[in-house]
Amino acid sequence: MNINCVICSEFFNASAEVFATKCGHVFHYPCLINWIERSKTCPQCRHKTTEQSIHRIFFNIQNIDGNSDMGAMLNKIDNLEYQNRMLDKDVKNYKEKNSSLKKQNDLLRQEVRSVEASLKAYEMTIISLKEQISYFKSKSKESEKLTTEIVNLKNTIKNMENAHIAINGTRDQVNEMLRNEADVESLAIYGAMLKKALIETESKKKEVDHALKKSQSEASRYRKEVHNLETTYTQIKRELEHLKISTDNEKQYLRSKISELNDKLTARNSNHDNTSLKRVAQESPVNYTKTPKLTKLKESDIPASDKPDVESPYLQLKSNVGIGYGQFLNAKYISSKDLPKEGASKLKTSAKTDILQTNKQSNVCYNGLGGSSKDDVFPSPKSSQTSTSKRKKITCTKNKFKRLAPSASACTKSSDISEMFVSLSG
Amino acid sequence: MAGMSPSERRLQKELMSLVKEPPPGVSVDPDIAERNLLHWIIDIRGAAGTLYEGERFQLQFKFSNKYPFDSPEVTFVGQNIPVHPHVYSNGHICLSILTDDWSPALSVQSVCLSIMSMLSSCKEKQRPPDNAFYVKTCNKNPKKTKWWYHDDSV
Repeated sequence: MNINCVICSEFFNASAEVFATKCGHVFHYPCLINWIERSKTCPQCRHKTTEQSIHRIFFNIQNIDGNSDMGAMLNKIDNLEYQNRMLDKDVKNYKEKNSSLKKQNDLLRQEVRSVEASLKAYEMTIISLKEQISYFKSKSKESEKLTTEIVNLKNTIKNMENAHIAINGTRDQVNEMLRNEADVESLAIYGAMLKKALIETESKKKEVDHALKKSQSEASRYRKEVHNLETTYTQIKRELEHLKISTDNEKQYLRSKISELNDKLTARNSNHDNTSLKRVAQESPVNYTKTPKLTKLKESDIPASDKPDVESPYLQLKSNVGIGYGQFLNAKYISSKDLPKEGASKLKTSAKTDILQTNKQSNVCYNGLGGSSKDDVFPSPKSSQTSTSKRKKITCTKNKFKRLAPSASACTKSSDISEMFVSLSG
Repeated sequence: MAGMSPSERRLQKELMSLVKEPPPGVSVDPDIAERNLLHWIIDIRGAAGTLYEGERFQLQFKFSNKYPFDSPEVTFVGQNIPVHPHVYSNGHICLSILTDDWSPALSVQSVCLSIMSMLSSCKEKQRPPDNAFYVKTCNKNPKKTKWWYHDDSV
């Protein structure tokens, strides 16, 4: 018989305090008391029950082969079942946990694998980066070398620039540069460069001195020439004046003679023309002996200027005018010098033809003062004569004049002077 | 079962008997109950031949550590609250054995059977007449409600 308390649902065992109500329901004493404190009723049939109305009951329990306490046994079984259930539950929980942990483990393994893979990749990148770093380090070393080289080159450039200033710059610039420059080495470089430049300039100076001496000597020579030429020029001028005076006198004389003759003509017949003319020629005061003197003078004078005094250190005149004049003089000399060599006969004809030609070409003749004037025409008795007959007559008179004054040197001289002035005016 | 309080031991026994030999139409979720012995969820099915045939309801039992001397707090929970004159729309049940007429001789199983009989004896599905007012004003705990058990027929 298995009897239990409905309140706690525990089986009654031998030691249990079992109480019964009036209505006959049995409970554990603490369970029943606990309920009666709340409600004075029987828990099973709600019959009125008080603490006084309940009473203890006793069971006669027979111990048969250890099966004596069935209630305790049943309670034990219940407990064991419960424990078993709890253990089952634990097992189930642990299994679940295990499976979840396994899953987690797998995930972690995968993660580990991926991390290892990424680690390898990182290691590879680290190695490559290290290589790059070493490469860049070498590059940086090279660049450092280059920068130091650049600095050195810049210094040398600066030194060179300073040296340039030292050579070409003003005194202030050089002073400033030297003040700023403290380096002894660079200063030594400047000194060496300056010395070099000095030597060069000295050699140049020598050359220039030499050239100067040369040009000075040339200048003195030219000055001397100029001096000579001036003296000759004044002499010639004087002579020309003299000649002019003499010719003027002659002219006056001739005019007076002509007027005389004209007077006579008017008085007499024209038959006496030739004799009077002869007389005029004979009585002419023109001094032809002077002309050879002039040529002589010229010949002695010009050779002196032809050989210039190179050694003369006094002449400082140096100009193109001097040189040009000298050349002109040389040319003049040659032209006048060549003429006497050709012989007197030749000269005579050439001079004659020259004068004739000039007269034929134009009636202009040089007056000896650098100017020119129309040829004086002798007054003709017949104004009705043609120009051609007039010219013929003039040539005739000229030829006569030649015959009257046969000196070749006179002609030579006059032609010479006229030539000279042509070239001068030209 | 050593070291357990009398109320826990009784609840454990009740749970085991309910899991082992459940009455027809009643099933307990052992996992929820075992996690916390003082809070049970019990599924009940509407009995055949009644208004609630084929319907499934969930009952929530909350026990105090004075159980079985204190009555459990029993309410309908979940999506389906049975439409019944003694069941409010918030799940509270107007049943005398859950408050005044509680006895320690009653158990979870007997309470479930009482509720099933209550549902089965219903002749018309309808809410209590003061449902709207009660739902607005009542305490969360149905045991705090002073019930007036006027209709004994159901």
